Amino acid sequence: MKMLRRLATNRLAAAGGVAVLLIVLMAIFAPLISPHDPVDIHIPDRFAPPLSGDYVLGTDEVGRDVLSRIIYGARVSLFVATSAVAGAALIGGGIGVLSGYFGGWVDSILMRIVDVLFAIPTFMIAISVIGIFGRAMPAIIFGLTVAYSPLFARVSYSGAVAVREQLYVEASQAQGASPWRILVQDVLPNIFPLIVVQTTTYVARGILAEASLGFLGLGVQPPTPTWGAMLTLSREYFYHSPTLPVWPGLAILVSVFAFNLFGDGLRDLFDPRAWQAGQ
Amino acid sequence: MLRYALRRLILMIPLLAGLAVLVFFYIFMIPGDPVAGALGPYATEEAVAYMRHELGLDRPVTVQFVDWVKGAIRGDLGISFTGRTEITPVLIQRIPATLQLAFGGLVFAVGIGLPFGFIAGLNKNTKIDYLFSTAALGGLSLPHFWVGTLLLIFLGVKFKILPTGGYVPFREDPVQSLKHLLMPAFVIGIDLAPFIARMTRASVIETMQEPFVAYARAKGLRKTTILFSYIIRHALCQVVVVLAMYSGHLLGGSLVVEELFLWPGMGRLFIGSVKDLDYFVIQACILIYATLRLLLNLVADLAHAQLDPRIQLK
Amino acid sequence: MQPLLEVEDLRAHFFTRYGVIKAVDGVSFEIYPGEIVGLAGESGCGKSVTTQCILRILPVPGRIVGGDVRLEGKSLLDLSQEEMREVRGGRISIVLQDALAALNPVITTGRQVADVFQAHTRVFWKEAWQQAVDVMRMVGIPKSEIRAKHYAHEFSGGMQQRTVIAAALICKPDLIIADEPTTALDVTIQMQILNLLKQARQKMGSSVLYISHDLANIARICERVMIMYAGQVVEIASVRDIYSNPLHPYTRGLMACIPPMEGERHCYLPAISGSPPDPLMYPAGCRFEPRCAEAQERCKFESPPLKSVGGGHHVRCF
Repeated sequence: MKMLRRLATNRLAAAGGVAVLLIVLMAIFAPLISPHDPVDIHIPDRFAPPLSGDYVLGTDEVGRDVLSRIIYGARVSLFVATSAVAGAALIGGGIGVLSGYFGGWVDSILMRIVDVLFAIPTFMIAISVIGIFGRAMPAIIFGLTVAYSPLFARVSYSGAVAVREQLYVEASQAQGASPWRILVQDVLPNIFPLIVVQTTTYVARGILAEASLGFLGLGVQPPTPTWGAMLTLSREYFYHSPTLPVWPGLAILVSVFAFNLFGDGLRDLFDPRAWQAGQ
Repeated sequence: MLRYALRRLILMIPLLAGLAVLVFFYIFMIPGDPVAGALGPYATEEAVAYMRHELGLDRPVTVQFVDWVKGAIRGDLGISFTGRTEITPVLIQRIPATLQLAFGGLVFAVGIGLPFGFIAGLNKNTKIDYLFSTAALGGLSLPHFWVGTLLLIFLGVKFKILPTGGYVPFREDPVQSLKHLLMPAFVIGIDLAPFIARMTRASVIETMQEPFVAYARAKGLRKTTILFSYIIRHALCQVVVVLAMYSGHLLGGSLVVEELFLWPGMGRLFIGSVKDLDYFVIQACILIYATLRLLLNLVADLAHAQLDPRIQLK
Repeated sequence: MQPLLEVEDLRAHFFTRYGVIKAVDGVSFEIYPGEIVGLAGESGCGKSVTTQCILRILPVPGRIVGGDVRLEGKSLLDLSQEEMREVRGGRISIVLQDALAALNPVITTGRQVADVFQAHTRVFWKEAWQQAVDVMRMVGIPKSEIRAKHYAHEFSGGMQQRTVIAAALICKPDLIIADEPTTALDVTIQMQILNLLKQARQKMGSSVLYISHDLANIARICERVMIMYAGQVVEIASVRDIYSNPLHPYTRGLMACIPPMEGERHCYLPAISGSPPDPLMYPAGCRFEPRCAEAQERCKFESPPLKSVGGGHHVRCF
C-alpha cells in the first residue's frame, strides 16, 4: 500500500486516476445516472437541439436521448477495451514469459510468430479477426486481444530473459527449487510493473480502437450505443442536427485522455528515469 | 550503404515467409464453410462443390499454398472470392492512392510534431514545455476521425472550401490533387504528430545532457550554431528510428481516413472486403500492408544509418 | 608584470534540495602571461568547478556567490552573455579529460575544430576549415586534411584528445585550461600531450592552467603549483619550493605519498588518514584540521587566511 501513497503524491497519476475512476463509475452506474433509456425511440422528438426540454444534449435521428447514449456508450468502450487488454496481458504476457524463461525451440517459434504479427498494423489484425468471426462483441474483444498480444509478449519476454540471466548464478546455488516456483516468485514480480504501465496506455488505445471500429461500421451493432457508431451516423444527419458529431467525439477524447494521463502518472511512479527523459 | 540495404532486405525474407504462411492460413481459421456462406443459404450442394473447385479450395493444402506463393511472387494474387475479378490489377490501381495519402500524412505529422517536440525539449520544464506536452497528450487521445468529421463538415460541406472526398492523381491535375489531399493528409498527420512530438522532446532532452553540448558552450560557439548543428542534428538521429516504430500506426490510421474521405485506396478496399467477406482480398491486403510496413521500417533504418555515422555497416 | 588572470576569493555554491554545497569557497590565485601553472588536489576539491566559474558555465543548481575573476584587469563576471561567449574559446579555452565525450559523434572532427574559429572571427567557411586542418596538423594528427573529415569514434584516444586541443588552440587563446587532459590516456601519449601544451606556450605565448591530481605530471611541465583542498586554495608556490619546502600539512602529506626514487623504500606508502569533509557541512575552522598532525586549538575555530610567506609562496595555515 506504499504504492497507493506514492500515487497520491504524484499529481499526474492522481488526477488521471480520479478521472478514470469517475468514468468507470459512470459506466457501471449508467442505469442510475442516465436520464432516459438509450434505446428508446421517439420519432416526433428527433433532432432536438441541446437543452431542449428533457434532453440535455439533444436527440439523434430517431429521437433517442444523446446524453443517455453517451453514458451507456462508456460501458461498451470500457468493457471492450479492458477485456481486450486483460486478455492480451494474460495471453501475450504469458507467452512472452514462458518463452523468455524457458527458451529453447519453443522460444524461437513463438517469438517468430510474434515478430510476424508485429509486421501487420495492429488495427488491421483486429479487423481481420472480425472478418473471420463476425461483428459481435466477443469477436471484437478477441480481435483486439490478438492485436495487442504481441506487444505484451515482447515486454514480458525481455523482462523474463533479463531475470533468467540474473538467476543463472543463483540457480546453481538454489538447486532444488523447481523452475515454476522461480517463475512465480522471481520472474512475475519483476515483470509486473512493466505490464501494468503498458496496461493503462493500451486501454486508452483500446477505447480509441473500439471507437474506430464502430466508426467504420465494424463494431458492436445497433441498437447498443457506441461512441464510434454515433459519430459515423451523425455525419449523415449533420444538416438536421449540427451538434450531433460533437458529443461522441468529445466523450472519446475525454476518456482516452483520462487513461493516458493515468498511464503517464503510473509510468512516472514505476520508472521515473524514463519520465525524466520525457517519455 | 547499398550493401547495408541489401543485407537488411535479405534479413526480411524469413519474416516475409512467416507472413505468407500466416496470411495464407487465415482462410482456414474461419469457422464453418466460407464457400457455403458466400453462396448463401439457398445454394445447392453441387453449386458449393463447383464453387469450391473453381476457387481451387478442394486441392490439398500444401498444393494450394505453393501455388499461391508462386503466384504472389509472380504478382498474381488470385481471384476475388466474391467478385470473380482478378485481385492484382485492383491492388495496383489502389496502392498509389494509399501511398500518396501516407506520404502526405507523414509530411504533416513531421511538420507539426517535430517543431513542437523541439521547442518543448529545448524549454524543458518551463510553462511552454508543460503546455506543449499536455497538448501532445491531448493529441494522442484525440480520435483523428472525429477531427476529420468536423473538418469535413465545416470546410467541406458548410463552407465548401475544400472537396469532400475523392482522389485525383497528381499527374493529372496537381492543384486539384493537392486540394483533395489536404484534409485527409492533415487528419492522418495530427494522428501521428503527438507521437513524433513526444519522441523528439525526449531525444532533445537527452541530447542536451550530453557532455559535448556543455563543451560546445565552453568553446564559445554561438547559440544558433549549438542549436542546429549540435543538438538538433544529434536528436534527429533518434527521431528517425521512432518513425519506424510508428509506421504501423500510420498505416492503421489511414484506414479510417480513407473511409471517411472516400479515398479509393487500399484501405477502403480492405474494409470493403471485410464487410463483404471477400477472403482472398483480405489476405492480399494484409500481405501488402505488412510488406509496406516492413519496407517503411527499412527506409527508416537506412535514413538512420545515413544520419548517424556511428552506425557501421556491420 | 600584470597578471593575465586574477581570481580573487571566488565562491561558488550549489543550491540543491539536500542543502548548499560550497564547492568553491575562497579560491584566490593569479596566472601571469606565458606561464604554465598547475592546480592540484583530490577529486571533489573544487578544481573543475573553479574552471566552470572562470568560463561562467556553471551548471544550474550552482551560482557564483562571491569574489571576482578578472582577465587582464577587467572583471569577467560583469560581462554580458555575448561578451562572455567571445571570451570562451577565443581568449580562454579549455581541454577536457574525456575527449570522446566532448566531441559530437554526428559531426566531423574538422568541423568541430573549425566551428570554434568561425564562432570568433568573421571568415568564410573554407578559410575556417583550412585553419582547422592546419591546427590539427600542428597538434600531430597525420594527414589532417583527410582525417578532419572523419568522425570522433574513428579516432584513437590520443587523436581525440589532440582534436580537442586543436579546438582549444585554433583561436590562439591567452589562457588554456587543461582539466585532467591526460588521465584517461596511457603513459606515452601522456608525454606527447604534455609536450603539446608546452609547445602551445612557446609558439603562441599562451598561459596554461594545468589541472590534475597527478603531481608527477604537474612537476613535469608546470612552473608554479596551487594546491586545493575542500574548496579552498591552501598553498601556492613554485614547483621547486613545493617539493623542497612544502608548508601546508596537506601538501606535506601529499609529498610524502609519492614513492621516492632514491633512498630507502618504505614497506608501505604513507597515506593521509581520514577523508575530506562533507561539502554540505564545512567546519567553522580550518578544513584540514581533523586530519592534521600539527593542529592547534586555534585551528578548530578560526579559518586561516591565505598568507604570503615571501618568494611567491602563499600558505593557508597558522
